[in-house]
Amino acid sequence: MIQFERVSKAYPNDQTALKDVSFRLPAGRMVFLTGPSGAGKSTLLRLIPQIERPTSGKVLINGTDIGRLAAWRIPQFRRRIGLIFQNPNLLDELSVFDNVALPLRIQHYPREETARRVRAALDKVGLLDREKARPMELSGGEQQRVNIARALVAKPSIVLADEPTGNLDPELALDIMRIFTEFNAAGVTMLIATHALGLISQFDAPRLTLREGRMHLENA
Amino acid sequence: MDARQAQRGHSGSVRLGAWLTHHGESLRDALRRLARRPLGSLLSMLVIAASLTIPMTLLATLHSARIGLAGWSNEAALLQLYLKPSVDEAEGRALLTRLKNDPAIADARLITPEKGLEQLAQTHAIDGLLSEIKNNPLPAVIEIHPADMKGLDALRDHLAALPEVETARMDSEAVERLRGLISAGEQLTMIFLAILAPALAITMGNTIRLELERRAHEVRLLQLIGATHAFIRRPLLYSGAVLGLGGTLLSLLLSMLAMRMLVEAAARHGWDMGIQDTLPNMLLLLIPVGVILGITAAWLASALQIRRIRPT
Ligand SMILES: Nc1ncnc2c1ncn2[C@@H]1O[C@H](COP(=O)(O)OP(=O)(O)OP(=O)(O)O)[C@@H](O)[C@H]1O
Ligand SMILES: [Mg+2]
Repeated sequence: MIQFERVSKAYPNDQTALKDVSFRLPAGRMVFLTGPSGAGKSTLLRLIPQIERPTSGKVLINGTDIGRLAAWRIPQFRRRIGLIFQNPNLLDELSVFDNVALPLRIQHYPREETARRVRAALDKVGLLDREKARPMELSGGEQQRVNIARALVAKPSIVLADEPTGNLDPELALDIMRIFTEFNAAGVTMLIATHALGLISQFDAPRLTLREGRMHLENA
Repeated sequence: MDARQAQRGHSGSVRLGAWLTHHGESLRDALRRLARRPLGSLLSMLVIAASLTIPMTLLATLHSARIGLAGWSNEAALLQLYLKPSVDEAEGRALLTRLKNDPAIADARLITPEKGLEQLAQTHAIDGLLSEIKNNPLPAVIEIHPADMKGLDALRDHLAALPEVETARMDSEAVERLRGLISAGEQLTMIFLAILAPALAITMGNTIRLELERRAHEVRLLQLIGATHAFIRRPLLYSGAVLGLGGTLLSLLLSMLAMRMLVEAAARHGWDMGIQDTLPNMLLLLIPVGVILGITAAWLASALQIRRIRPT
């Protein structure tokens, strides 16, 4: 469950990105986060894994106020969240396989299980045959799919996606959204920020809309 | 943190195996990264080696001098018993026999006043002057080589208390003074090393910090996916250990070279310094010290730096 209680966020340059935002997303639900550019979508997502901290208000995950988490607990906490940002953020010196394996490596998963899970994740995004390639040898869309495989490989309970289909052609974008709905069907809470209104209209999921940092609830 | 994870999901031993594997991977990763910048890595190792070589050579020289001195002083540190003027030659010889039978004494030799005067004349070429001295002013002297160096002071006190003996002198003051000088030199070098250690740590820490800066992108990503600081830091600690090991090994090599050159130069001038061109085992201690210093430096540098790199 993701819960925002009267959350405001002002950046150091006094740019107010979020104003008094409150909402509750029950565990296992999928929600789209929409709104015009600069409305605060990315900011809202970045507050959840503690990349940013709110100026005021509380963010609760499964009932825990994450603002009160001790610093040493944050890594543990982040492992339960799959992050998919628009920039694929892959490591060029590692192969596709090793990039996807990273979230398992940091948790010291055994080698065989790592290999099994990495191949399953790559299979889901249709890149099983590219596991030995370097990220630079892949197209933008392929890199984004590697990014998605990496976010899903450790079976997180929450997935946050910030314009995950920005680089993809419409058909691939639809594929990715289908992967997300599959994941959601398996019980993962999904919060997906996107501009692609046409695309999400095909999916039966509620929409949270931000305008100038304020939250508007509407249903698709 | 790793132990707690081990309890979740997987059997502890399997995770422990994976954790150990990560140590192996970290070491390989550290070596690969150092190898990728051979010049920079070699340069920081050379800085470490160069600054360690001077104090190490000094220590080795002093250590060697101390050993040489120990051998020398065994021969030289003899006791001289100045007999009372009232003791005649027969009494002196009787005392000599008694002393020779003392197990604490290896050897003893009597120098009568006449012989003493002869020796003095020979060594100082003052025949003319001495022949004019009618009353020989020298006392009879018994020179004593003690059986061992321990209990020398007690032996002297014991001998000084003999009725025939006026005073007992130990002829090792010069040796003692030299030994004191060597000790002072060693202490000074140790102080120098103690001052040097933080400077070396800073050098290594800076190398690690630069490495971390080059890897900022990777560090950010690792933080985002929930890697602990310990995980992110591990390869860097191995880098520090490798730097420290390489630096101290290199400086041992340089010190050995310096010692050999010193001994050879001395030999060319026909001067046997009694110094060996081997390094004392004590200096091998510097290797673990260097490794620990490297790890500490890497730990500090990464502790300061990882916090500054924030995920975006
Ligand atoms: N790191 C930052 N420092 C200062 N201001 C920021 C920062 N990030 C975002 N902002 C500001 O906060 C506001 C909200 O930005 P945010 O990136 O959350 O919007 P968004 O809804 O994701 O926009 P887009 O659809 O273009 O990605 C903007 O006015 C932006 O200029
Ligand atoms: Mg954005």
